[in-house]
Amino acid sequence: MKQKIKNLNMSKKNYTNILSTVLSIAIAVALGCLLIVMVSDEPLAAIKSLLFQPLSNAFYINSIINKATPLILVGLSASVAFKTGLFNMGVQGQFYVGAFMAAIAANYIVGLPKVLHVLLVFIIAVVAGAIYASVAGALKSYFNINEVVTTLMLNYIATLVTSGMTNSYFRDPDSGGVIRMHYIPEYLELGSISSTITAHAGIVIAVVMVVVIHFLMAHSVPGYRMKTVGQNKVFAQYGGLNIKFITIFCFVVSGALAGLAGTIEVFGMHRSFFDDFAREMGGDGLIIALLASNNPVGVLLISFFFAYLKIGGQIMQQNTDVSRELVLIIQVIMIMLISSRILTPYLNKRRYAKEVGKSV
Amino acid sequence: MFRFLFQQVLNLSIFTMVFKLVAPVLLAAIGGLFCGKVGVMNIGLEGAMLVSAFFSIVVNAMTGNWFFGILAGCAASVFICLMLAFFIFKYKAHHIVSGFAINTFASAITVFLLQVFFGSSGSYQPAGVQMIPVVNIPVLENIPVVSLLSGHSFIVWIAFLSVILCSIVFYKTPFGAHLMAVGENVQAARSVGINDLKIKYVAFIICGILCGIGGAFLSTGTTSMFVRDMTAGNGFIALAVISLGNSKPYGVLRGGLIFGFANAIAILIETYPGLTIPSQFIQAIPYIVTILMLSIHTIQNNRKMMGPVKKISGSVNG
Repeated sequence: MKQKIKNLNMSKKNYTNILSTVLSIAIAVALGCLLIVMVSDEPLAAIKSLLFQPLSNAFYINSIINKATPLILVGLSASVAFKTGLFNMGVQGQFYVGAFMAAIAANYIVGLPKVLHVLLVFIIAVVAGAIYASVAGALKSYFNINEVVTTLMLNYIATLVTSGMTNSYFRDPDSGGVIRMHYIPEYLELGSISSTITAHAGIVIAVVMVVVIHFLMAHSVPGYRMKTVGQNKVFAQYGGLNIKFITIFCFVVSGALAGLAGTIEVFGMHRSFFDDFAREMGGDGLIIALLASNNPVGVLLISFFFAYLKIGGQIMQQNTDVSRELVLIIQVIMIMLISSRILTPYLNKRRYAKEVGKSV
Repeated sequence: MFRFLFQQVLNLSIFTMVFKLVAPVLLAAIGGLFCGKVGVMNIGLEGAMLVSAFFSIVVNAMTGNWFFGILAGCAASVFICLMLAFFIFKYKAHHIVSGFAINTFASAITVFLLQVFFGSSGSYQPAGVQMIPVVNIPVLENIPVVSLLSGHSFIVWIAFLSVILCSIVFYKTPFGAHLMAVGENVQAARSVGINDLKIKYVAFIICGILCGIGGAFLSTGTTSMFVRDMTAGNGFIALAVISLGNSKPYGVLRGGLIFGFANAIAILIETYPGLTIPSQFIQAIPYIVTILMLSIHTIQNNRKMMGPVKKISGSVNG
């Protein structure tokens, strides 16, 4: 009986959470539109291209899928760390390291059978991302250095070093004005899913990872340990968990996912490593994880929504006088509304009033 | 190359560069220190500096007066900090999450406004900007080594002054005592009648003003232009500098100077003729030095602290 009540409460709490998320998103989008009306000479066209155009043809829909793919992975990456009570602000850096190593391994390892090469490239990139993240994890667990500061610094280091490498030693001499590496061999590229859905196959990997991470966090021992550490470190310590190991493990998983995102972005979208090609990726990952309250399925949905907004923003920038930075502003409003739970008390009050009304 | 570096250090030109580099970091770090004392790690320093850099140069170009520029920058920065404080204290938003959101907001809004008002997506270089003046001290200018003290921007002096003032405020005034009390134990502070919320908001306002001055220095003190995301991690480095300085004003000064030297040497190496390694590697040096210093410093500290009490690893700073 008690269990039942608890379940009921839980589901109600979830329901309120989801409702407040949806409402926050709606309010943020509305405020964004208001901003458009304030600054634009052609507000209707701008709002139309932001909100409705992305679904208007197959090309845009495929672009949304392509855009969502890395977002899902970086979102998962950030959410794993959040669940363990850690702030991996270094998703950006791990993403670049993964992407860079993928491009290097793709271009400079030659003579292997194709299948082996594909596998090896993925492994190298993912491991590189994981190792890069574990630097911050090790500093945190052994010396108790705040991971927020170190991961932020590591972002700059990764961006600058990969940029330096791409600018000098590994630059494709035929790249013209663009700073990039050689294009990867054709057999490494991720092909389209089918002839109708031309989005690259990365989305399949991303969805598989959603399932894997869901299983890891909800139904496995390591996931349970990570969550325990995230909820109450002292309790976890008292219960005999090896916090140092779990901290590093969490960073390894998080970094591996970010590295995978970088690999897929290189193999599916860009076919090469461009200098500083995805500067919003890390930030988006953190925001997505927060909006989804670290739920893998939520990450999947929110990523698609963000991809939708981003494509809308691009169309808007092309067609009208409003720049796509507006989308970032909408994202920030969302995150402020959700992380501060401004709406929750109102929603609770309303529900309470409804229930009281029913019982009378 | 080492000879070249040595010469630069010897003829003291490096110090001018160090002071110039250290001023914004120092200002932000002292601002962050105030927030840190009330128990908030203020990630939003970066965003506060960025909006200040933007608004100070816009107002500066409009009025042709550097002082109004700084005032406008401070106002914008204080607004950002208050917004952050409002979400953290009123709505209990997580400070790192909301600080991060504030940074994204600052980055987006500056680029957005740049686009709306000046039709540019990357940088803004208006005519008629009055640079923040340089202080030349008449007599000292001509004395060999002491001339080091002359010819720095007005803001550099404010930055160093802020360290001294901060130390006085922390350790010699009732406000400072209240600040510490609120940060150490809110309940205890409340029980003796301290209005903790007021103290917290004042701390954030002070932080906003200092970040505002630092941001204004970036756009109208060293250069006279605004570039998107021009703070380039200065706010984050300020956070590292606070950790380096054990959250003490003079410690922050020391940490800031270490960072300034690392950065200045990196810039010198970058300009060294005949250099073959990519400049980006050199630009990464200050960040690497910051992490290394932070590690060494924390290890030393942990050694000192490791007494009879066995600390729960990672229980601080959660």
